[in-house]
Amino acid sequence: LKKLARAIRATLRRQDAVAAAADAAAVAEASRVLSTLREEASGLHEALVRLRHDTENARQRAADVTTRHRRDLQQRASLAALGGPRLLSDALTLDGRPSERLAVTRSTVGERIARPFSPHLGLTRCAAVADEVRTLWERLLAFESSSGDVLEGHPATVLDMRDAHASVRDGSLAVSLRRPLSPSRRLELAGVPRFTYAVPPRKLRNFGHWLLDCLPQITAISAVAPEAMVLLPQPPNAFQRATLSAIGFDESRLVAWNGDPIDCGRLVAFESDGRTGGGRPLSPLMELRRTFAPPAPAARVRKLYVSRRDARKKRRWVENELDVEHLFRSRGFEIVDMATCSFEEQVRLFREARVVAGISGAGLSDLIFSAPGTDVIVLITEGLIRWYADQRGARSLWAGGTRARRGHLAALGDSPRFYAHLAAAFEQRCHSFVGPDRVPTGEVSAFVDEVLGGMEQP
Amino acid sequence: VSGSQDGRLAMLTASVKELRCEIRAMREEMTKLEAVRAALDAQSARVLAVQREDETAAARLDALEAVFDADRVASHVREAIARAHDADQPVPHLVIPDLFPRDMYDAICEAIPPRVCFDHRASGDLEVAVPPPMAPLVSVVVWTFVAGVAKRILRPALIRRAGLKAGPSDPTQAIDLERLETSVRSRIIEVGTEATTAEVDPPWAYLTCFLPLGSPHPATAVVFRAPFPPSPLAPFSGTATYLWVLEIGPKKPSRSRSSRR
Repeated sequence: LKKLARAIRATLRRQDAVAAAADAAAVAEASRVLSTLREEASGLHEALVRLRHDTENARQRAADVTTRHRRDLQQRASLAALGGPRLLSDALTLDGRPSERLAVTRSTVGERIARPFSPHLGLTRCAAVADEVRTLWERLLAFESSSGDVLEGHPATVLDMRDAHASVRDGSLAVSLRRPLSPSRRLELAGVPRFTYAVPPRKLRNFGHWLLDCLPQITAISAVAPEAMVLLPQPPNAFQRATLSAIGFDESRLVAWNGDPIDCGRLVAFESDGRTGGGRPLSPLMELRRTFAPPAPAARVRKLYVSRRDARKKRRWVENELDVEHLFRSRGFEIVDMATCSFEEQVRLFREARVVAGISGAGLSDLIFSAPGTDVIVLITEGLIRWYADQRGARSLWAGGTRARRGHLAALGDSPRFYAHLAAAFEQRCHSFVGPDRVPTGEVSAFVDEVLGGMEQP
Repeated sequence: VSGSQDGRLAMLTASVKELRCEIRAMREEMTKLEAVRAALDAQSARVLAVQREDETAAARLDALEAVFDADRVASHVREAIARAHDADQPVPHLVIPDLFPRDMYDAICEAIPPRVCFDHRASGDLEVAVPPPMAPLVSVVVWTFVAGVAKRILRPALIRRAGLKAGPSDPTQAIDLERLETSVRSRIIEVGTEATTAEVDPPWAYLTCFLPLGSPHPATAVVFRAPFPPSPLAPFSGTATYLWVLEIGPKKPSRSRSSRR
């Protein structure tokens, strides 16, 4: 019995050992399988994450395509609208059946601009004596600060039409896509800037208006139809020819047009310059700036004071400009008279300028040639502020108490602060001094010294 | 040996847990992928719908020019509102038979965007903004015209008419829209079977016009002034598949200083 009992215990021990070994083997196998499964699951998860990332990119691309498609759809819908096309200009009419209007193409030229303003804002000082001017100036600054700190501009738009018949009626361009009545002449490819019919001739003779408002329209038309004959209301003067030459525009492509009916195989009409409110057309201006392509000079060391002695007497704004010029000369500024400078010389001077000063006026529109980082000192007189406030339309929006729409700082652009906004769009730093028409030279001296001192600091 | 096996078993349990986590994470990734796929499907369906109908758009729009004559439509709408009558049940509202000329009404019904152009609302119904941002060209052009009529003709006429005739049941909630700058929101809603819940959107719940689309003539619009009846869409659930909803409310700056009395 004892032997049997020992044998049984031995057998049981052997069985326990076998079972334990089997359990251990099963656990090991399970571990191996689980480990493989986890590796596979982990790999699969990583693949899924990559797939989601790729899908997300595909979704973004599809969203971009859809956005372009939607924009195109809206453009076509606006042109083919029932009851007449919805155009971006109130000085342009387009007559034709929806199917005819659907054949019109609206091209955009340039990019949307959204530039912050305050980083480019230098010193601002008001030494005005007249209470009403101080009030106007403070109102302007208040509007500025409530408008959102961004200068906005949309791309220019150009309408491209086949078999179109154009004429000017009451300052508007009337385009018909129906059969012509009795056109007096025909052009195969014609371009019509907006200023040809909607801008008074005296404004066309102003260098600032020409450079900042009109020339960008020709640039946009040329971008859409480089071979187009451009219709102008009058033959170009010297500075118009010089600026056209500078953008590579061949003068032989200009055609005088008095607005009589004309028949065009293809008509390219400038529609909108994309300005928001009354500001300058920032997007077309940036295109123009690119067209001029200013090369960066090795060193920008010039200090320029732009004289306003050549302006008409009632537009000089300052009673003691000689004193002002003397002041700036004493601070190392060159006094430049734009009337005696060729266009090429103007471009060269402004490209080489480190700081440009002057009384607010057309002479400062050459800032378009100056490099980013240029300091600009603008003197604004009481007379100039009163003149802006008395104007109708966008120029006096700020004075009448009309609040600028949110984000539309440029709506205040055509105001006494206009050059500060223009400079900011070109990433230049603008300092504004407001004072009486007899400029207080002592206070301006201190102001200029402060600006120059700030420039010298690293 | 037993202690080592316990350790292995614990490791196994931990591995299983981790595996479960991996599977859960994969399931979440799959859900996200599914959402992206659905969005892509919807986008491509809209683009295809737009392209499919574009070929005939020019001829159809030419044919619609006479129907959508702005002056004719404006005078018809003004007359329809002048002829409108008041009703008291379930709450005071305005009833406008033949709000639009019949040929125009038929044309706008025909130009309802395809279903793929609609988005899902919280209530489960489908809706699309007017004018639709992405739809066949004819739909966009036709409904842009309707949106223009709503803004320029209907809004002032309804504010004058409903303001005078359809007084609110709760005077404390009344607002004099004639004294404020107003804006409009316009949508097409596909009426679902459960369209019985009140759709009150506070910024807009001042004056709301419902026009069933696809009803036999005369198509009758109803205009409610806030507060709405409990189920403003209920009367339409059996009669129309689509509704045009025009909401008129004070502009945002006016809302804050609105003259609620």
